[in-house]
Parts: sequence; C-alpha cells; structure tokens
Amino acid sequence: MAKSRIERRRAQLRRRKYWRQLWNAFEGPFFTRNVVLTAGLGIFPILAGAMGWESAGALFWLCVCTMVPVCLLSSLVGQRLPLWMRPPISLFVAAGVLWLVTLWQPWLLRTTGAVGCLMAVGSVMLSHASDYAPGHILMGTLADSLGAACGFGMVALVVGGVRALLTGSVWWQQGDVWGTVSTEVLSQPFVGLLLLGVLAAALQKGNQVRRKWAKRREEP
Amino acid sequence: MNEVVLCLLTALAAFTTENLLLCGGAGLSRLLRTSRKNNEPLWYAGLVTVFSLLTYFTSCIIHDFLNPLYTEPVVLTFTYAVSCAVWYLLGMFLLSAAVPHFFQKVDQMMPTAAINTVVMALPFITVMRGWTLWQGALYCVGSGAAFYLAIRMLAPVWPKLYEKQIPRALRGLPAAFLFLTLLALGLMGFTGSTLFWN
Repeated sequence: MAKSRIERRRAQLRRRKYWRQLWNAFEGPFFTRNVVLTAGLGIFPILAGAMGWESAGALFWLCVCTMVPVCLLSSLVGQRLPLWMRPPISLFVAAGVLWLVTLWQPWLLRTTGAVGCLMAVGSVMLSHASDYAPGHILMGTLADSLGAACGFGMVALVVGGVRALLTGSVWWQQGDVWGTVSTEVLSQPFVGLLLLGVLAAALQKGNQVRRKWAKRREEP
Repeated sequence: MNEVVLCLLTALAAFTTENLLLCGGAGLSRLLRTSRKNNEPLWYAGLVTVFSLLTYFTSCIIHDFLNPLYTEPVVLTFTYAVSCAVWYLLGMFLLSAAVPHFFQKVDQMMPTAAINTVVMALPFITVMRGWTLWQGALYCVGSGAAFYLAIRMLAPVWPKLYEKQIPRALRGLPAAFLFLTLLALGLMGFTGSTLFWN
C-alpha cells in the first residue's frame, strides 16, 4: 500500500517534470530566449515583411504552418541523417511544405509575397529543424517549434503594428489618419532594426529583473 | 560598352543603394552570427558569393524551361531551394574529394554559407528587376563583397558592445541592432529619401 503511494507520487513528479520541460521548450523561444530578440534569427522577414497588422499576421500564420511540420518530420527522421545532410533536407522539405500550404491557404503568399517564401526557408526554420529537432522527442519538438513560431509572430506583430500606427493606419482605417512618418520611410529596414533594438533591450531588462527576483526569492 | 558600364554600376549599387544586407535586410541573422565568431570572414563571404552565383546561374537555366509558371513565388522558392541543396551537396562531395585540406578549413561554415537568405534572395531580386544575366551575376559578386565588408565592420565592434559604459539592458544584441540601424540609416542617405513629410 505504502509502496504504491510512493510510486504514485513518483509518477506524479515525473509527469510534473515532463510538463515543466515542455513548457520551458515552448516558453524559451517564445519569450525569455525569444527567437528574434535574443537569438537574432528571422530578422529579414520582420524588416522587409512586417509592414502592418495584416502582413505581420500572415507571416506569423505562414511560419506556424511551415515550420511545425518540418520540425516534426526532422524530429522523426533527423537522427538517422548525418549532420551535414540535415540543412539541405530541411530546406527541401520546407520548400515542399510551403507549396502545400500555398495550395491550402493561397492568401498567405498573396499577402506576404517573396518575403513569406524566404521566411519559410530561412534561418528560424533551418536552425530549429536541423539543430534542435533531431535530438529531441516529438512533443518537445512540437513545443519548441510552436514557441519559436509564436515568438517570431509576436515580434512581427509588434513591429508591424508600430509601423502601421506610425503611418496613421488604425486597424480598418488605412493611410494617414494621424501619422507623421511616411510609409516610404517606415518600410526602410533601419526603422525595423531600431524597433528590434528597443524590443531586445526591453526583453533583456525584463530578464535581468526576473533573475533578480528569483535570486531574492531563493535567499532566506 | 554600355552593357559593361551597366554591369559595373550594378556591382557598385550592390555596395551602396541596393545593398542587400543593410538596405534590404536579407542575411542579417547570418551576418550577426558570422561576425561574432569572426573565423575566416573572407572564406565565408567567398563561399556565399560562389553559392549565390551557382544558384543564380541554375535559376537562369531553369527559368527558360519553366516560363510562365516560373513567375509564381512558390515555384521560384522551390527551384531555388532544390538548386541550393544540390549545389551544397555537390560542393561537399567535390571539396572533400579534391581538396581535403581546404575542405577541413571550410566544412563547418559550408551549411550556413551555402544555404541562407542571401543565396536564396539574389535570384529573386534579379527576376523582379528583370536584369540581364551578367548584371545579375555582378550583383551577386557585389553582394558577396558587401557581405565581407559588413562582417569586417561588425566583427571588431562586438567586444565593445559588452563594455561597462553601455547600459546593461543594451549590452550585446540590442546594441548590435542599434549599430546596424546607424549603418542602414547612413546607406539610406545615398538613396536621397526624406525622413518626414515635406
């Protein structure tokens, strides 16, 4: 009786540990170790593609649709492939998945164009599909790829949203409602880089404060 | 003569107003990583240039077969991805067999140099701009040189981005983003754009 209670407790702890690890795999690339703001991946699609809410949302959805299947496939077969073979195979699979996604949701590429295509086969996908996915279990890879796609999407939405607000577009009202900066200037990469710099600094500050609080909590 | 001048001007534009990295934003993730490691930037930029040229020439050949279906971005991406992957694999086999000493030097950087956004974006740009074969080729060479220059500019800056004078929240990548902002803003001056409404 006592033994079974211990075993039940052990199983409960194992389950809790498993879910905590899954949450960490999702939350890391999504927020604290954001795939764009701390790892510096996927910068090009945000600079060249996130010009407003709609394009940023399309980039986010396209990233989820293409990256997750490629990472899952890479998790299943990746370890059987030598290291040097993984990037080209991931690239080839991603291009194929992109084609299928375009057949299913044609509006995604109509909205994002060439930037969306380059994002689907870009550094976010390559890094997670050929580096992380092969050494991890399916659920871990699912959590990681979803976290990376959501982290990328979150940054794209913030940058696209700020750009749209600065040009004076507020959701349904397109154009110069009260904007002061021209669309031509806001579409320049330097504006995106400036916003990424500010966001990255804010995240770094947030992480520092979080670590400080955690340290204080540990101290008696 | 006109064609030669046009090609040379295209190569020059790849450095300044049409700079793919700082005016277009492509390949910045790779630039940040490569400049931080700072190992053999010349070989890295050279490999990027070679693979860009190979992918570009292959795309030009495929273009003649696939027209007009070819103009669809998803078809373009698929063909570029396949040619990129094939050239990478061929490059690995050929270099390891023919020049093993050189291969040992570059095998770690081969995957990221051969498969990246710069290599994939260059054929896209030449198709969108409707450039001639040699104009496109010189744009690839110019972009490779711009990539090398950007690595050389950013590499010595990295240690300074972690110095104590910089606020803690800005140290590292945020400061690198701001540094790149200034470079991109400087290059924007060549295009003659205005920042605010006239």
